[in-house]
Amino acid sequence: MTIPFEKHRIPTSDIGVSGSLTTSSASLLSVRDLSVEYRGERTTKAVKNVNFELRKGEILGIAGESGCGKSTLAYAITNMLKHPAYITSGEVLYAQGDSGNTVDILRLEHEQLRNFRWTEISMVFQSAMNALNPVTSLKKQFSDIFLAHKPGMTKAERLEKSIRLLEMVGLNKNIINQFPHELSGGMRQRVVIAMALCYMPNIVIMDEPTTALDVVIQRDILDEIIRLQKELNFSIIFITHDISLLLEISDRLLIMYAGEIAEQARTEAIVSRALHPYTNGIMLSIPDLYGQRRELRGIPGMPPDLSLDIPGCPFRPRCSEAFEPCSTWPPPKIFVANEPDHFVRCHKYGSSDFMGGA
Amino acid sequence: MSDLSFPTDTNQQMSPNTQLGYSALSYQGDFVSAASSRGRLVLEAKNLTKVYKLGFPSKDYISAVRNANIALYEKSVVALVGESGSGKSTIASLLAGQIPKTSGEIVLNGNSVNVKSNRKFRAYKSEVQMVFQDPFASLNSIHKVRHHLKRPISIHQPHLKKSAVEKEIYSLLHQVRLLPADQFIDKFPYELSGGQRQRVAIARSLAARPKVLLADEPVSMLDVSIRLEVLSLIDDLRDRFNLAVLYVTHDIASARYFADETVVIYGGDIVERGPSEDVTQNPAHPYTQLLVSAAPNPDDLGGSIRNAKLTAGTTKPRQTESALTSGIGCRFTPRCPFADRKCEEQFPPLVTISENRQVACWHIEQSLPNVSFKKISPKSQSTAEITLQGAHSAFGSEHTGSNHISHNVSDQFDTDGHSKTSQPAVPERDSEDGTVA
Repeated sequence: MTIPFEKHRIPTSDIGVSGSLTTSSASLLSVRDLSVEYRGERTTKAVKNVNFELRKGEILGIAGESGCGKSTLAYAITNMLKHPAYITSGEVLYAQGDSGNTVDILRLEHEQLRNFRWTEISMVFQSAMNALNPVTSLKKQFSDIFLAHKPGMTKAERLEKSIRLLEMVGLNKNIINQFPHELSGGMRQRVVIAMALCYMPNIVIMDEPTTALDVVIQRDILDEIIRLQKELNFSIIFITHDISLLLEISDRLLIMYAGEIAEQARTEAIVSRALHPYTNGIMLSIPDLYGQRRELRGIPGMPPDLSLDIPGCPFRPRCSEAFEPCSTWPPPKIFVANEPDHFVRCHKYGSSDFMGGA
Repeated sequence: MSDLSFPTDTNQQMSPNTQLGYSALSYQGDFVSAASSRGRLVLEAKNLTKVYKLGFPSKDYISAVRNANIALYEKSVVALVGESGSGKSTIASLLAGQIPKTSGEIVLNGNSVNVKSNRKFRAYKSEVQMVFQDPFASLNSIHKVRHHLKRPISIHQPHLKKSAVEKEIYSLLHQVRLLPADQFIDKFPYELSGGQRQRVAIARSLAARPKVLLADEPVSMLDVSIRLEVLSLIDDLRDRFNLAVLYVTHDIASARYFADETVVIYGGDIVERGPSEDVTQNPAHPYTQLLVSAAPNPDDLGGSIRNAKLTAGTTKPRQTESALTSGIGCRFTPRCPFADRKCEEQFPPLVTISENRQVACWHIEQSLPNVSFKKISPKSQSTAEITLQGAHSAFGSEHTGSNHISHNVSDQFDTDGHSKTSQPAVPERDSEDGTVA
């Protein structure tokens, strides 16, 4: 198949509106044409030509099911992928603080990368159980971070800063001498968040930070994250499969399916007017507690095997609205008029690049 | 085991009528499970209690489940909702006969069950089957789907010939919609997706032709888009196989859609039970209110938590182990906004507040300030009066638009079971929320 992947064109007059493809001054991170594949017996294309932008002080939600490439994307952004994963194309441009310089994170080498991570971008991993070292105390683990990144600090300074961080995330300083297994899941997750904020990074990537937690604890952690984000004004990339949670906290949403961004929009637009059949399907499959009972519909089938070549739209086998071009042509990226940042990758909305107003 | 002196609840009376000092605001008829209308009673737990002894050097006990009464009816789903450590999985394991109970009784088809011998255990298992949370761990990765289904069939239906067993395997795969069955029968678990594995696990539990299915968080490891499929499969199977289903979950929203009765458990005690729609739309116990308010709300545009005043400590810290071992008082006390001395000192009994709702709280008047319960004599049950006006969640104003709750109370109380028996004498009007009448 020789169809170029993105056959859309962008009229220059509209570039200013479609923020996803331009570098506005507020943009902090811009991911361009990023593709990742896992090489093996069969090559798995986990992330395909992903473009998006992260702005200062916003919460960007990335939603998708397991195996859709959302975690791979997070790892790729921070240049953490190792064999057998390879970044085959793209760049991740980071606008560095005051200087206004942009660096391509993917081109940073050892020492630079080491300095860059944690101070500029940090990450909160899914399972706080595994992210902490079970055999050393929290004090030691905090010290390790400071020793690695700022070797000049004295022991007293390190202790003081660790305690300040713990208090910042709402924990008692007395737990500093405890071991991870002595803490509850929620406390551990708070510790991991505190560690991610050691150097007040501009971007925190959170990969399913609340997935293993109880609903009530999850709510506590979310409140904490939002509070810290308001106070410290960092940007968050929040990755989860739980779209109902993202609808509440994020400013913008990327819906990923089979390694591609199926739809990107402001959160309100997804709630009021989700366009992609997959987005609609997910929205209809969440049981809610509020409002009238509505009919729930799941999405039949399962996500495609990314190691196979998928002609046409990857969602086609599960889509109730699929029609003839879906099986042969990759869906075009269609921007929604009058709604900046909203695009959808679906044949349903025609082959032109812009659909009419609401 | 039962002669050990546990610090359990000999002073706790399950009957509210004997409690002095309780402002008898209750409906005084018998409690009827919301699930009972579906069919015959199959499995019942009476005062089921499980006490774990803490290891050396501690001499303490933890009562993981205290005096739980749960009834499972044919074709019905009872949801058991609670946080981790609340004892919900312990109840499922007790009912499955996996762990020995400390006291109480399990009644299957009218017969008290004691699964001490292997033979009895196996006979019990052919009636009561369990589906586990993690389909990645519950299937043996070195065996094919065929093996997973063949074993239970040959154990529970030993008379079947080889060809009949094969036929049964295919029929099971059909039942759980793993189609075409030919394609799935010789697959290894690693070749299947999470949803498909859970279907195999469900098929395996159906192989024993059980009457009761205990599903312990069957969908929490699955993707959102797959969850509904598996839930509706279980929903469908209970009709086809006349199954009584216990659905253990931490997701109270799915209980709303999936279960007939929702039982909320906290710290090993049942704190609230009732028809799922009632419990989720009009939670009475402060803990249920906390659960409901903590659940993500997709309709909450832009997020009230983002725009809400940021107040710390709305949810108090989780209970410590010592509270679990002390055994007196309400276990929710440390986190409860209404807690007072009484809550610390006396255990709140489960009080029947309407035909099929029970709540264990000393402060129902405060947690449901706008509910007026009229004391009635047992003889005139038919005039039980329940007037509900936009119930206020203790936590509602922080996280959820309280208008959500109040709005829905009126919706749901028009159609629920009470309206048959309740004739509010003075229908109170509320200009904003509409009338409940």
